[in-house]
Amino acid sequence: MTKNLSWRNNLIVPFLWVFLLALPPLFHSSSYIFHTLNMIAYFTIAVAGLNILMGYTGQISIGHAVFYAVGAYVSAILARKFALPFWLLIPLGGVAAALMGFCMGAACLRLKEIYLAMATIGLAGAGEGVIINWDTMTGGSMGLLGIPYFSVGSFVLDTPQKQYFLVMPLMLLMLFLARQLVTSRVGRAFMAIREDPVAAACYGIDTTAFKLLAFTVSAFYGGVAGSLFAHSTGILFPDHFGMEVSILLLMMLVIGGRGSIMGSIVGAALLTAGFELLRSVKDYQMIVYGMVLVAFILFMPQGIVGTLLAHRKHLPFCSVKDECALKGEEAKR
Amino acid sequence: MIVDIILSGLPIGCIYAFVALGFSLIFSSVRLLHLAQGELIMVGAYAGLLFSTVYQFPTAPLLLAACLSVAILAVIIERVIYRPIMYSHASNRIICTLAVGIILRNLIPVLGGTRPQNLPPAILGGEPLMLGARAIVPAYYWTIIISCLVMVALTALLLKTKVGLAIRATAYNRKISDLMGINTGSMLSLSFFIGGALAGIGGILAGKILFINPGMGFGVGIKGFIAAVLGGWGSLPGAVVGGLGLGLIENWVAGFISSGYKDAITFLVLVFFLIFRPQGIFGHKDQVRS
Repeated sequence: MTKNLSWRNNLIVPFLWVFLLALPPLFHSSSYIFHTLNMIAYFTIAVAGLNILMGYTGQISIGHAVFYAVGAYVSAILARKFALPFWLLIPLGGVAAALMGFCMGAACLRLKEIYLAMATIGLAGAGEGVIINWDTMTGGSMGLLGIPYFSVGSFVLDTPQKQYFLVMPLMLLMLFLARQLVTSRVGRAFMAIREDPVAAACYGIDTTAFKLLAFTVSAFYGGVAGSLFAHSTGILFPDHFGMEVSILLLMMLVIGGRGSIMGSIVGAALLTAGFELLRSVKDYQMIVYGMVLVAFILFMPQGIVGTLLAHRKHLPFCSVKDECALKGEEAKR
Repeated sequence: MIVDIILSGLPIGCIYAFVALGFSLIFSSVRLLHLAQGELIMVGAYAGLLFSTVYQFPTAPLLLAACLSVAILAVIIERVIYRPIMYSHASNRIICTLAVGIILRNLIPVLGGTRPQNLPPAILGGEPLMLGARAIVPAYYWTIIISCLVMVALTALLLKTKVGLAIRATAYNRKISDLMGINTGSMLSLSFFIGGALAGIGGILAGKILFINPGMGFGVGIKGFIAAVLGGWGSLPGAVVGGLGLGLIENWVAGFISSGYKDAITFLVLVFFLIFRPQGIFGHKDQVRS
């Protein structure tokens, strides 16, 4: 990679992103559009976290919505009890989820990947049960209402338009950090574990420690997304965090592209927009999504961004750095 | 109290055992974590509903029809979706089974409605069995009888017949079985056929004991999955013991602790098993470490 190219990626691409994200506020003022955009941002953050775990480290988590839930409920309950500021609530939601991910990972990562998948299903089920039954704390199936909006001083972020200006920069920051992580030494260790755990261990990578790190970071992302979601909708129901949501996150990940951080945003945007477009045929929506998912796994397992990268080396708005993931995919085939 | 817990825990445990058997059979032969197994149970229940209400089938033909229809569906799914990605990465295959589950779970409400329904009383009917002062409803004792019969038949099929030997050989080592002249491809389909047939019968039984609704597959499936882990992943006796054990634990928790936390506690049992005894009751230790 020439020096020129890396300069282009490191400076121009982020500017283009910021420019693109600043466009909607100039042209639209409908809160529906902004609500959808914000939803895309929450899902993008959660999917980026899942991507670090599944796409880069090759571990399976089927119950990822539980981390989303922990972040949302912890942040919401803290906000109701102590009225903390947003810059404390978002990291706290993330840390709570990360702590849970850490304990969970420490217990199960010694086992084969298939057992990790089972344990995540179990944990997600237990989490849902606790949310429904611990109703003095979480509101149970009646929902947790009256969660305060984020506020900066006396300026309350009470409409999707206002929230957009907090959520979008935060999403960019989280994506940027994720990309820094996966292109660093740690990220290469993740990918080495995905390709061949035994070979990775032979090169001196502590596979259990790195898997645990991936799991914890992934949970942190889920928690941050949950916290943002909780404070922008103002209400939480157990339905927001069920198995369907875990599967939806998986769909976004696979369709966008595993092993590509930009894939997270593509997957999240397509499926969230799809939900809005398919609202009139709601009954068939999940059938269509399921079939699309099967089609992707069968014919395009590297997802949209992975496939585009395979055909065109210079994808607009997508860094060349993602190619190291692509090479990993090719090596696997 | 204890007797009540056993009497109500056993039938539901039998249903979990049916799901767990399907999980274990498919896992041990195809090495696939088939997360759509619970949805096959739900399809079985709806097939039962269709055959019993629209075509007025009596009990025995109904069981056979549900069995066959779900088994054929399972084989079609295996051939079309699972077979092409057989050697793909484990996460691809697991995601595929989840996708199949999602499709089935959302397809059934479109075809059959979301209203909870029940099988007609004539199916698996009869006089209640008096046990001292307690009456056991026919659905319960039929469930236990049919489960015992099916489990004996399955064991006999796998251990005493040539086809069973071929299935076990394929599960043990596919390449060597190929060299020995076994058509391993058909054996994999046959495993799915048997798994589907188990789900068909399980679906009828579940349809008698629980309400038939599109969400039932997920609940039953996840419990059967836990049962399979408790008993020992891939072990058939383990699946039966795990299923019955889980049914009893669940009823015990509901009776003595709290019925609301019933599901959360069974999930915690799963996580504890995965931490402290991941091979389950009947499994081997070397198959679980990475």
